[in-house]
Amino acid sequence: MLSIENLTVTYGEQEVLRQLSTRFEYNEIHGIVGMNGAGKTTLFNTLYGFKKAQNGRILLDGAVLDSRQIAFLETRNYFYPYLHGREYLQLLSLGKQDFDINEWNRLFDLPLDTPVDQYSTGMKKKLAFMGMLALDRPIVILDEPFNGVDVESNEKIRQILERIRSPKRIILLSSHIMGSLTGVCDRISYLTKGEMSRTFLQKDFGQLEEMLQELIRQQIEGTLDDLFGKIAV
Amino acid sequence: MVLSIIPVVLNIRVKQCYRLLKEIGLILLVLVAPIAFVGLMGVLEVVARNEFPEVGIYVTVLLFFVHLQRRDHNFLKQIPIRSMWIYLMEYSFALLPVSLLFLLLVGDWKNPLVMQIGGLLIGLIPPARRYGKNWLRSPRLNWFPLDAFEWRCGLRKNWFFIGLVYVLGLLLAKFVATTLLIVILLAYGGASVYNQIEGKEIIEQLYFQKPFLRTKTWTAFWVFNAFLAPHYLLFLLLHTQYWYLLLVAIIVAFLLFCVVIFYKYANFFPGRVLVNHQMILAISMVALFSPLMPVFLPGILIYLFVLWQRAHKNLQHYYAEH
Repeated sequence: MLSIENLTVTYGEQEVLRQLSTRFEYNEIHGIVGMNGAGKTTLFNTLYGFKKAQNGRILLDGAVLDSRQIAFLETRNYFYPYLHGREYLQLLSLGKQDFDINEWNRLFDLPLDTPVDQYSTGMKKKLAFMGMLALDRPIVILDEPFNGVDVESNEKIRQILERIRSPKRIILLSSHIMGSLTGVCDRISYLTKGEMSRTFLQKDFGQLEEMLQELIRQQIEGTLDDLFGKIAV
Repeated sequence: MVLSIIPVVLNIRVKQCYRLLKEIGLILLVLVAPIAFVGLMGVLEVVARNEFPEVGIYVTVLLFFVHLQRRDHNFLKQIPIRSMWIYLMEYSFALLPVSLLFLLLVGDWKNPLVMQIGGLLIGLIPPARRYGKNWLRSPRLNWFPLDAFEWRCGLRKNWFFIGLVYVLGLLLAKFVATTLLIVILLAYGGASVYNQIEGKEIIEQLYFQKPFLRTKTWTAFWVFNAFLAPHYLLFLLLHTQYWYLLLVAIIVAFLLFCVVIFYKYANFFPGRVLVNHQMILAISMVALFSPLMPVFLPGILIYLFVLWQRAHKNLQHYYAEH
């Protein structure tokens, strides 16, 4: 089990995560949803060690988490210029004999012997996703995995996530597209103002969607009335 | 229009210089300043003694390579005047203090003249575009070790220039200076490949297997020397009596690799480009490949030590348990 205890992360004066405590279980795909700036990416960056926490603990099975236990698919993927896709995968599968790059590439059909600089956004995302699979680690974190990828690849990613789910793996993912989360997750937590306000089980996903719609309606209703009222006048 | 842009661009460059100084560190600057002062006095002495403007030529050649490696084309394109004017202005301003020093302190006018004319001519050359269609068919270089992926990428980027220099070096090996110049040029090219920072996931794959910084530096050293082995052989066959010059060049190239690799990981932040890398590289080139290298050496070694410590600490920050 991955447990986060009283995690506080700040950017300068701004507290992005506030005493956040939660748990993620093995064999589950756990979604995290929240508005822009809610702290999703900060949470993932802190788990992966990009960002240091001011306070709190992150434990995997009771021991302090090490970033080598995590495979992280970032929102925006960065690749070394002029590196070929195949080389990227070779580097990430160092010491793993069972990861056959060509076999895995049958899924996405990427031009692996071409510099990654020449890939489209979607192709880069797919390469990073394959790299994450090559790492084969117990915690898999995907920050907006469905962004910039075509419908077909979205479905492939969803099906692969189902396949890599195992009693030895915890999968966390965030998305702005609710449908992509509800289709694959066992639980979805709602993150707001740096806190996990509520976690929804699969049977309650309908409630979550209604709650989000209502929140957004409350946020913009007044402005929309003003704007459309003026147009009507 | 040009005149109104000058203060804006200069202001940006001054801010960049300030950030560079911050990156180097105040304590280190204070430590290195006396050594740099001695070095400068030495340069001025050479200038006063020699008739030939060798320092001016050296600075011009260096500036030429810095110009070829510039990465701010897209930024400059957004400024509503031709990039050429910016280059001319920047190089003139950058060379002005050095020129004035030579002029006022030792009454030398040849070196300032060479530098200023060189700066103007270089400003007229458009820097190479990087991601054009011509680069699509860059070589695979699978025979390079995967650990040295920076070299594969760097060679792909500049394969034409490096290949040309390499072949010319072999053809002109009968001149003593050729191989030494090739070592300097390719050390510069080799050091340039470390100006990008790889993702954390790649470092993780390599970091925990062996002592990271040591392995990285030795890999650079061996790859570089293996690549230049045919040049060394020819040099030793044709100019055996100057073997010690080659040895010095190889050691100095190694020090240069240490500087750029330690600098890279001292400033490691996932997914970031090292904006001041070219500046550090240029300063290191001046310090290491000048005839006054022995004067600069203590400063370079102190700098290396500080960089190594910073790199070590920075890598621990990103890779320690959390």
